Formats: sequence, structure tokens, C-alpha cells
Amino acid sequence: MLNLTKGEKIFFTVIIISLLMVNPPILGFINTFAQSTPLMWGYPTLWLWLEFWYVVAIVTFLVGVLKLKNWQKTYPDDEEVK
Amino acid sequence: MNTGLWILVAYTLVLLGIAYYVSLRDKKSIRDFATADSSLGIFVLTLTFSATYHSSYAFLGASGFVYNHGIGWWANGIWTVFPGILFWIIGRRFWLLGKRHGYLSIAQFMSDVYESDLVGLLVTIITLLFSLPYVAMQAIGSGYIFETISDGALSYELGTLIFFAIMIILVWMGGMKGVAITDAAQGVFMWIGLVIGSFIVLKGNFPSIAGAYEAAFAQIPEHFSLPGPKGLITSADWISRWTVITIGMMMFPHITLRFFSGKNLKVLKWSSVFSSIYLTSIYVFTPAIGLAGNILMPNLKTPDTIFPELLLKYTPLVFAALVISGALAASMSTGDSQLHAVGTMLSTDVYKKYINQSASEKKQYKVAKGAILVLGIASVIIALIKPGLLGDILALSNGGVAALAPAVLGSIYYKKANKQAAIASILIGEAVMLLTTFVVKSPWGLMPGLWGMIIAFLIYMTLCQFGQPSTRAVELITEINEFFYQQPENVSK
Repeated sequence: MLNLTKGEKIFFTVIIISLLMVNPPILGFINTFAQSTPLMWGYPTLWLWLEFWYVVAIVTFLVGVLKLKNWQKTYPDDEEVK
Repeated sequence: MNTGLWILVAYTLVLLGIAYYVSLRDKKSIRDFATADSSLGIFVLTLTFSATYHSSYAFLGASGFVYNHGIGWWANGIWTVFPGILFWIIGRRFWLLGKRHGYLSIAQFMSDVYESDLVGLLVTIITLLFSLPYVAMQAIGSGYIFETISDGALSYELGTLIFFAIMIILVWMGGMKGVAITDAAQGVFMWIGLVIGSFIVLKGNFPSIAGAYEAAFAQIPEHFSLPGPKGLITSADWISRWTVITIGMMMFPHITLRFFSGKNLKVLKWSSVFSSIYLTSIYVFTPAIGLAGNILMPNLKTPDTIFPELLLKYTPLVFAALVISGALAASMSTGDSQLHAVGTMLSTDVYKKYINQSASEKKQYKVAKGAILVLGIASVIIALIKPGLLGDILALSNGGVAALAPAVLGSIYYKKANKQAAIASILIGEAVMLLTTFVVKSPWGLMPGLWGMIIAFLIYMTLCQFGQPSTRAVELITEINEFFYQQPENVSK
């Protein structure tokens, strides 16, 4: 079905990991921790955890866009974007 | 007329001015009207996608939800990160096919790929039916904003009608290009309004953002963990919300039209990255606003208004009015894009296909404009009736289109895709969604839209194992895979 490159496999693996980290059951474990430690450095523990994994997903996407070769393809009559 | 209203009028005039400027370059063809002739650049595509994706919920619903249910709201932040990623992963496939085969809408593509007019018609009817309440939802939000900002001088009904008139003018004048460029302006306005406005309110009342959280925790500790003070944010609730909203939103015509609108793949790619950043960063202070709102304005009757209320109380009136205009921007950028998309769809997928097959580009362009007027009137009628809570309308709309996802995604990924599977999955998925919305209680606390999507997926995958695969689907998927996964000469270093 899909013939992913090695780089894309790494990309999708990290994206899936970040998705798993912000869903049950893992988020349930973090929630238990957040009940005993609701704030870290003044910010809600739960928010920090979620925000961290969202940033991981966005940074991974950015790295993918910069590094993955088959994401650099251009359509034959594309104009150069300035 | 009060200051707030003057600012709103000035804001609206600027928008109309932009739309007028764009209209001077109108080519009066359906291709230009529908997809801006695939000419949008990174800046405009990023902002039109992002501003269209975020509706009045960003200003009114989000901080209200935190105010009521706590920090767990941000578990749904997945639907701010992943739309950008999906816009690239899925969108580039549609972009390529649009470029090569001239598709103007997903329904047109679905008819072709499944070799069935019925599939295309079902997609048109379903997206049309579920888009109208969504446009009405924007009109409802705008009606409230006009009423609030004018301090009651403009009624809800009049506000809704003004919203309708502005929408029609914006879409008529510039088509996709006009909508996209005014969306871009509104997107900038929304971001500044929400982020800077929140920051000013927080800094004016607390020593720091962390200080706001600490003060809130001292009074409402139950807001800092799941499932929140009222027990609403359960596992079933958040999984339902992010899946249905993220996937459902990608099926709406106002989003899918943007797959075809980018100038090239580079534009689509970078717009996707910047959209993820925009959509996520716009909410950076929303949790703090919602939680601190419990201290600054406890026991609000309508928590959805917490952010505008805080602005009016803690920032200068001119600034507050400007930021609240940003809320109107959020409603308008979504509403005009949806009206534009469904009008275009009726012209290309119904009029051209079933009524006048020899219709010229100019004729289709005129029909699209007429359809937008009729659909706009229908939306305003729905808004004036006020059929339910905004959240319920949102869930119904997204749930309705989410059932299309297996057939749409299967058509670009799965070589066993066939029309029987597509038709059955769409019809049964919709039936399940409606049944669990209106007749029986949705099992296990999952939202009806998720049940519709799950059943549609199971039906689709099962029937794809038995039917004759669509030869066109095999051709197009092969074409996509060859383009993206072979090593042609034009791969950049």
C-alpha cells in the first residue's frame, strides 16, 4: 500500500509516539502524577506535558519538511517561490 | 454610536476595501473563483487555512471551556497540531491530482475515482447539509458579538443580518482570492487579538503567567487535573473530540478546496508547517485566561463570554473593541469560506454535472454566486431560529462529515477501493451518526460522530475485500505513488 522511505518511517513513528503520549492510558498516568504535583515551575503539570508533546510533533514536522528528500519534490511546471 | 461600534464599522470597511481591490483582478471564471487558479502563496494559504479552521470558538468557546472544566481542555490541543500535518500528508496528494486532472472539488474527484456519480452526489449532499449549520453557527456568534460590542444598540437579529450581508459581499467580490486575502488579514488580527489581548489581561492582574496559574490553583485546584470539576473530560470525551474535529474538519469543502489552491508543492508544504504553529500558538495563554477568569470574574452565567468580558473590564475600550473585532474576524473568515465552498460545489458538482453540462466557465461562475446568495439566506434563517447550543451544532456538523473520511482517504491510499464500499460506508456511517445523535444514547460515552466514523471505516474495509476495485482508483493511486516515491530527475537536493 505505502512505500515509505526510512526518513518518513522515522517521522511517522515520532508523530505516533507523540499522539500516544497525549492519549489514554499514558495521559491517565500523567494525570495521576498531576494530582499529586499539580504545578511545576508555576505552570500546570498536565499543560506542560501536553504542550511538550505538541511541540515535539511540530518540531518533527519541521525537521521532516527540511530533511525528507521525497518531500522536496517539485511539480515540473512549478514556479520558484520567493 | 459608541466607540466599539465605530471600530467595528472601520474594521468592516477595511475588509470590504481589501475585497474590492481583489475584485478588480477577478477573471470571472469558475476556476479562478473556486481555487484562485491555484495561485495562493505561503503567507495567504497559511492564514486562510488557519483562520478558516479556527472559528468563533477560538474567542468565545475555548476560554469558556477552561473556565468551566479546567486544564484538561488542552488534551484536545491535538486538533490544533495535526490539521497542519494532515494538510500536507493528505493535501499534497489532492494537490497533485488537481494539478494533473483539473479537479475543482472533492466531490468531482470522488465521482471520478470511484467511477460513480452517486458517490460524488452523496459527498455533495452530505457536505452541503452539514456545512449550513456550521455557517449558521458563525452567524449566531457574530450576532452575539454585534450585540455585545454595540452595548445592545444592535440587536442579535440585526447583527446576524449584517454578518450575512458582509459575507455575501466578500465572497461575491473576490471569490477564493478575495476570501483568502481577507482571511489572511483576519488571521493576523485574530492572532494578535487573542495572544496579545490575553497577555495584557494576565500581566495587568498577576505578577507573571505562572503567578496567574498559582493564584488560580489556590482557589480552584480541581481545575488542574482530569476529568475536571464537573467530570466532563473523560477519556471517551477527549478521544471523540480530537478525532471527530480533526478528521471531520478535513472533510469540509472549505478546507478541501484549499488543497487545490496552493501555487505549488513548496507552498503547500510550508503553509502546512506554519498552520500547525499558528493554530497551536494562538491558544498559548487561553488556559491561563480561563483559569484566572475564575478569580477575576467568578460565577459567570455565560462562561463563553469570559474573554471579551475580561477585555472590556481590564483593557482600554478601544483595545478591547479591536480585539473583539478579532472574534468577528474568526466568525467571518470561517463563514465566508464555507459559503464560498458550498456555492462553488453546487455550481461544479450539481449545476454543471446534472443541469447544464455545456455550461461555460463564466456561466458556472454566475451560478456559484447565485448559490452563495441562496445558501447564505438559508444559513441566516437557521441562525435566527437558533437551533441549539454552539457546541452541539459543531459536534453535529463535524460528525456528519467525518463519516466521509474512510471513503475519501481510501480513494487516495487504498488500491482495493471500490464504489460499493464507498457508498455503503457513507450511507451507513451517516445513519449510525444520526441514530446515536437523535435516537439512542451514544455507547461508551463516545461522540456520535466517532461512532459514525468507526462503523464507516469497518464497512469500507470489509467491502473493499470483496468488490471489484475501481480501475480509476488504482490508476490515480499509482500515479500519486510514482510521483512521490520514485526518484525522478526533478527531486531537489
